[in-house]
Amino acid sequence: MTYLPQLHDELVRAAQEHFPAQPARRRFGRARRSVVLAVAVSLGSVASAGAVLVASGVVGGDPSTPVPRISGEERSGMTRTRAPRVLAVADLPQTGPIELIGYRMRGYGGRGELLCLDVAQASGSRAGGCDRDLPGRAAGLLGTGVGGDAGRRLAVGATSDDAVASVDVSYRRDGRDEVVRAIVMPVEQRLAEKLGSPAFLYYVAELPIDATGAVAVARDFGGKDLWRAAFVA
Amino acid sequence: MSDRRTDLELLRATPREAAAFGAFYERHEETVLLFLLRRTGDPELAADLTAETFAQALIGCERFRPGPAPAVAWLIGIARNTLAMSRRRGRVEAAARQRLAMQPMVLDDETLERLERLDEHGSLAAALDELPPEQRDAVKARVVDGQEYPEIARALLCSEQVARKRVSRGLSALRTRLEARA
Repeated sequence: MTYLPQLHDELVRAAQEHFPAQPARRRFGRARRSVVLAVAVSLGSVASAGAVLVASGVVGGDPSTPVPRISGEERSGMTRTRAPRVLAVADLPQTGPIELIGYRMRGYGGRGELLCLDVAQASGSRAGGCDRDLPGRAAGLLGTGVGGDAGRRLAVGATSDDAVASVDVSYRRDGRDEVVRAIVMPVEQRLAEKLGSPAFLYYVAELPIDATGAVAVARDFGGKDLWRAAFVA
Repeated sequence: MSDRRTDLELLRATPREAAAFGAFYERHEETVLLFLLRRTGDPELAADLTAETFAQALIGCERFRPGPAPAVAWLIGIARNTLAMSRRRGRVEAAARQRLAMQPMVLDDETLERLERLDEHGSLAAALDELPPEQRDAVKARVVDGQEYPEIARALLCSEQVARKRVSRGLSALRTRLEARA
């Protein structure tokens, strides 16, 4: 709990507005159209990665655990305009079941609207972030977080690029290059539309806690590289 | 979930992820507030200076370069400069906050009270640090960590009787120091 929640919220808002240009964001402006096909393709890529989708929460329903208010949220005029809903579920090899939760809220002082995405884990840990824009970035909408009990670092990102079939995350550890296949969680178009967003893909990769220099590499269903996006952490 | 990234990782993430700066703020808010509270003795002024300090840090986060000193030392350096400039000009610096279009700080009574209590705790920590090392370690072990005297004696390589004496003398010295500051 902070002593000055107003200052915390003001700084986060100021950071969003002070650093508006994101190289990766521009690339995805073209991709805001129907991605029904991409969703099907991505499901294929999940299966090939050995991931098992599990129903830890009901997709389209309420989250298993309520999404807590952020510090000073209501006092700062940040009201939720769309209730939190489970957008997708997955089971990560180390971290276990996760729920991707989406909701919308008005920004600080009631200005603008934010799309918020949370990854909730069975342990109760959660990582989340809000942004003014739709999830078009290749990486870093939520940056990277640490996966609760398993002590793994989660590299997460969202993209509305409808050509993406799979995402690999490469990183360095102990002076060696390693690669891990990300779990791709397609968000159904009907759920995305309820959030005022095009359908999109959310990807999560579990990295060792000491991994550095993580880079997401997106590929189409022919295996061709589409784009690379460096995680900043 | 508390963010376990390093300060450097949070500052580097900020241009792409605004929440990273929020986590950086949460981690160092108390340190900066305490630093400014002890130098101004005024919670409202300290809060204003803290806001300007973090606003400057936000603007300059891309320029931060890792070195032997931790990021919090860079932050305290900004706080020190902000305080010095404010004193020189006779008003609280606000250039960075204006540049970021930040709203003025509004502190309610509850927040002011919490800030005053924060300073009390800070005074206690400072007074504890001023004790002779053997008394400080004994008081911390007994009062902060709640250890029993035999345990303290083993850790400090002394008899139980000496451990009791060190705690007693340490607490007495602590009381004298805090009363002198009040």
